[in-house]
Amino acid sequence: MNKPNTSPKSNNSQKPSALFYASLLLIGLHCVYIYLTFLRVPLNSDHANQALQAADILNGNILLKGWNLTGVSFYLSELPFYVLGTALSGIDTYAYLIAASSMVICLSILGYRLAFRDHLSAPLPKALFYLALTGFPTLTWLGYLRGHCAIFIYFFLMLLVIERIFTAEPVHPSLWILFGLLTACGCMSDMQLLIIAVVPVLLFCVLNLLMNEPKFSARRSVRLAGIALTGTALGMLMDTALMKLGGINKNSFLDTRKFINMDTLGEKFLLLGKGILNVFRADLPDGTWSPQNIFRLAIAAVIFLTVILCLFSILHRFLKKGEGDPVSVICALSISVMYLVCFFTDIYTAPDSARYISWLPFAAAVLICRSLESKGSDFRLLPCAAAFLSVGLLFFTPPVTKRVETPQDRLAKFLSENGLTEGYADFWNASHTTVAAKDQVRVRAIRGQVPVLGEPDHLEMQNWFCKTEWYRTGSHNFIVFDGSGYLHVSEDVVTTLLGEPNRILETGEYRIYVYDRDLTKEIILPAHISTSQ
Amino acid sequence: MGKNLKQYVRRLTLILLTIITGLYTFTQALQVPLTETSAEKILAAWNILQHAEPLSTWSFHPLELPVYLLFVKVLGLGTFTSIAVSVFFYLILFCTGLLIMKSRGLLNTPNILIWTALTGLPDPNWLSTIQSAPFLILGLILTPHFLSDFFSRRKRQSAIFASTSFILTSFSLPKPFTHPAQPHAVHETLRALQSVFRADFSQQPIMHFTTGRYFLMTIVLLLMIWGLIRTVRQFTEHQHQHTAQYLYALFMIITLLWCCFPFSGDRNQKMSLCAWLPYGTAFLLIFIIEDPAFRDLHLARGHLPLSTLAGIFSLLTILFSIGSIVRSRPVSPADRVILYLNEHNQLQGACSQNDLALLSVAAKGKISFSTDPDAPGNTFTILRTSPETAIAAQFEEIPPFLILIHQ
Repeated sequence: MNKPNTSPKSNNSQKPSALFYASLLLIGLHCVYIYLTFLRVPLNSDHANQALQAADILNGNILLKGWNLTGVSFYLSELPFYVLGTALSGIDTYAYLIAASSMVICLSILGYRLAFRDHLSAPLPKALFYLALTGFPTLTWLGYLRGHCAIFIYFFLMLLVIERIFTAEPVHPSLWILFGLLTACGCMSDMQLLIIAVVPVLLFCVLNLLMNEPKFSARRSVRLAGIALTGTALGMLMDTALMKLGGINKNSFLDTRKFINMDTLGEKFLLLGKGILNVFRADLPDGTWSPQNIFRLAIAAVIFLTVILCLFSILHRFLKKGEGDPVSVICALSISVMYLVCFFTDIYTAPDSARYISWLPFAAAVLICRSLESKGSDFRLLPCAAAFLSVGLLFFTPPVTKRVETPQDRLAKFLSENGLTEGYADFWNASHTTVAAKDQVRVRAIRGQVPVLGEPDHLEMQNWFCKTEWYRTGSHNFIVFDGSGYLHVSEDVVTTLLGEPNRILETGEYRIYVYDRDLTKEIILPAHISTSQ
Repeated sequence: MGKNLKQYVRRLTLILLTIITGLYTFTQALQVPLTETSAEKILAAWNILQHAEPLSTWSFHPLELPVYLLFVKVLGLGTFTSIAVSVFFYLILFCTGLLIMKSRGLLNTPNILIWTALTGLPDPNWLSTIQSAPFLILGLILTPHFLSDFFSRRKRQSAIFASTSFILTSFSLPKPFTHPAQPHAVHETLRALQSVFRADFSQQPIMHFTTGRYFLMTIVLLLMIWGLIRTVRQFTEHQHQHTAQYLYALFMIITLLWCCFPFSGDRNQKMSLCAWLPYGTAFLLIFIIEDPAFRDLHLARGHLPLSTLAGIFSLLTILFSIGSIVRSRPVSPADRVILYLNEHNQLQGACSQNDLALLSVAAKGKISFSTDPDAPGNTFTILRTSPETAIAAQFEEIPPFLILIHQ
C-alpha cells in the first residue's frame, strides 16, 4: 500500500518571481540581524568550554580524549558549529558568536522551509508572516536557544526527510539512509532528540498503523518506525563507543531523571508557564506594565493560543479521521510530548531549563503557517506586512557591531596585565575568562567539596565540561572570587583550606588571591576521575 | 464436536490465564510489606486457633475471619500467610469478574484481554489496598450486577443477592464524618486514583520499563473519565443500554464524589474506596465496546477493530509490567529485627502495642513479645526511632526500630 497522501501543489512549471528573490533577500537580512543581535548575548562558561573543546579537536584530539562532559556529548550537534567558529577566529568569544548565531540561522531557515509547502506563491507575504512569528528574537530567547539548538536543527532536517518520504514516488533509498543517519548522529550527540523526534515519529507511525485503512502508507510507516528505533540504538552505541575510545567521562542525563513529585504540580505549572512566556518573547525587559510590555504579552499570548488551537485541530483530525500531513502531525506530537515531559519530569526544574523548549516558537510557526496554507488562506501582502511591522516595532533590538563586554572580559584583561596566567575560579568565571583572554590566561573551574555533614574539607576539580589535563599540568597560583561563593568557592573556604594569600588584588566585582606557591597539587581530582585516568 | 472442543479450549485458556495471573500476583505480593492491620488480623486468627485471646479484639469485616483462620491454620503464623491471603483475595476478585462476564454472555477474547489488562496485573500498592478491604471491593463489583439483574428480570433471587451483597459491603463502607476534614481532597483523590490504577509515577525514574505501564494506565484512567461522560450522556439521551452499565457508572460516580468530599479521609482511605474502580472501569469499557452502534462508528472512522486494539493494549500492558517482577521477598525492617534477635538468641521481650502484631508475625511465633516492659523473663526491649528518642549507645538501630538487649 504505497499511496502518498500529502502531495503539495506541484510548482515545477512555475518559475520563481522577483518577489521570491525579494523574500530570500528578506530572510538573508534576517540572518544578518540574528548575528548582530547575538553580539548582545554574552558568552558563558558552558559555551566557552564548547569553544575550548572545538579548539582541542582542531589540535588533533578528535575523540576528545581526557574530557569530562556534561550529560550529553554534543559531538555531532553543537561541536561542528563550534569547530567552524574556532577555525575562523581561534579561541575567542567570536568563535562562540559565529557558532551560536549560525545554529540559530540554520534553524530559522529550516523552519521557514518547513513552514510552507509552496514557497513560490505569495513568497514575500509568507516570508513576512514567518518573520512576524519568529523574527526579532529577544535576548532572553536567544540565550535559551543557543543551549541545544543543533538538536532542533536535526529534528527539522528529519521532518524534511519525512516529508519527502511520504510524498516521493518511489522513495529513493538514500532518504531512508539519511533519516537513519540523522537519528543515529542526533541521538549520539544529544538524547533530547529521543523526546522531540523519535518518540513523536514512533507515535505517528503507530497511530497511523492503528487505522483500519492507514491514510499514510503502512509500509513506509513501519519502515520509518523501524529505522527510527534502529537509529536510536545505533546512536546510543556510537555514544558509548566514543566514550570508550576517547576515555571520556560523561555525567548522566536521561538515566537519572525522574518524574516529579505530583504534589508539586502547581509550582511546576507556574515555572513552565513563565518559561513558555519567555521563549515566546513575552519576557518583560524592565519588569513594568508599560504599554509596550502589555502589547508584547498580548502578542505572545495570541501566538501561543493560536498554536494550541492548531495543535488540537491537527491532532484531532489525525486521531479521528487520520487526516493531516506528516510534518504537521509529527510537529504537533513533538510539542505535546515535550510539554508533557517538561511538565511531569525533573528535566525542567529551573528558569534556565527553558532551553529545552526554546525551539517551540519555530515549531509553532511551522504549525501555524502549514495550517493556514492547508486551509487555503491567502497570504496577502498588506496584513502580513502589518503583522511584520507591528511585531518589529515591539521587539526590534537595535543592532550593534561590537560585541557586549562582560565582567570576565575585564577580568581577563586585568589578569593578563598583572602577569597572572594560570589560576582557578568557580565554574561560571573560569572558562569564560579563558576564552575572553583568547587562551592567554587559563582559569580552571574548582569547587569546595563538602562531606555529608560539615564544612568543605578540600578543593577539587569541578567535574563538568573540562579536561583532566588542565588540573595536572601548568603552575596555578591564583584564585578568583566574585562574591557569589558558587559551589563553596569563597574567600573563607579558600583561606581555611589553602591558607592566607600572599597578595590580594581587586578589580570590579572580583577579588583575586595570589599565592607564591603552585596550587596545582592542592586541587584534588574527584575519586572516579583519579581512578579512571 | 467442534463446538465442544472450542468450549474446552476456552475453559483451558481461562484456567491458564487465572494461573498465570495468580503467579504474577504472587511475585507482586512478595513486595507488599506486611502492614500492621494485616499482621493484627493474622495474629488474632492465630490467637483464636491457640485459644489464647478472645474475639473482642476483632474490628474488621466478618467474612475475613474464616479466610484468615483457614490460611493461618494451613500456613501457620508468618509473613507468607499474609502474602497468600492477599493473592487469594485478589484471585477471588479476578475470577468474580470473569464469572459476571460469563453470566452476561460477555466472555469473549477481547473482553477477557481487557479484563486482564485492567485488573490482571496488580502492583504491590494496589494489592495492599485490596487486602485492606477485599469485601468492600467485592461488594461494589457484585451489587450493581445483581441490582441490574433485578431491574431487568425482576427475579426475587436477584433482589436477595443484591441486598445481601449490599449489606456485606456496608460493613466496610466508611462512616460519614468520622474523619477530620482533609485539605486538597480533589488532589488527594487524583493521587489515590493514580495509585490504584498503577499509574503513580511520582518520583519514579523515567528511563525504566514501568514508565510504559504508567503511560498505559494513565490512558486507562482517562478512558474511565471518558466512559463515565459517555454513559451519562447516553443516559440523559435515553439511549437503550445495559442497565448494569448505568449502575456501574452510578456507583463509580458516587465513589469519586465521595472521595472528593473533604471528610472522606486521607489518601490511604481514599485508596481503599477507589480500589474497586479498575474493576468498574473494565466493566464500563466492556459494555461500551459491546455496544453495536459504537463498534460500527469505530469501524466507520477507519480504526482497527476493537478486539485488535484491546489485544495490542493488553499485550503492551503485560510487556511493560514484566519489568517489575521479583522472585524473592525483600527483607523488611521487622524481618531484620527478628534476624538480629535470633542471632543474639533472644526469646522474649517487650515492644509497643503498635508493633506487637508486626513483630510477632515476622517472628513466626518463635520469639515471644509482650507490651509489658517489666514482665519477668524479658531480655530485650524494642522501641521506635523518632526525633524525640535519645539514641543511647547501647541501642542497636534497625530503622525504624531500636533494640536494647538487657544486660
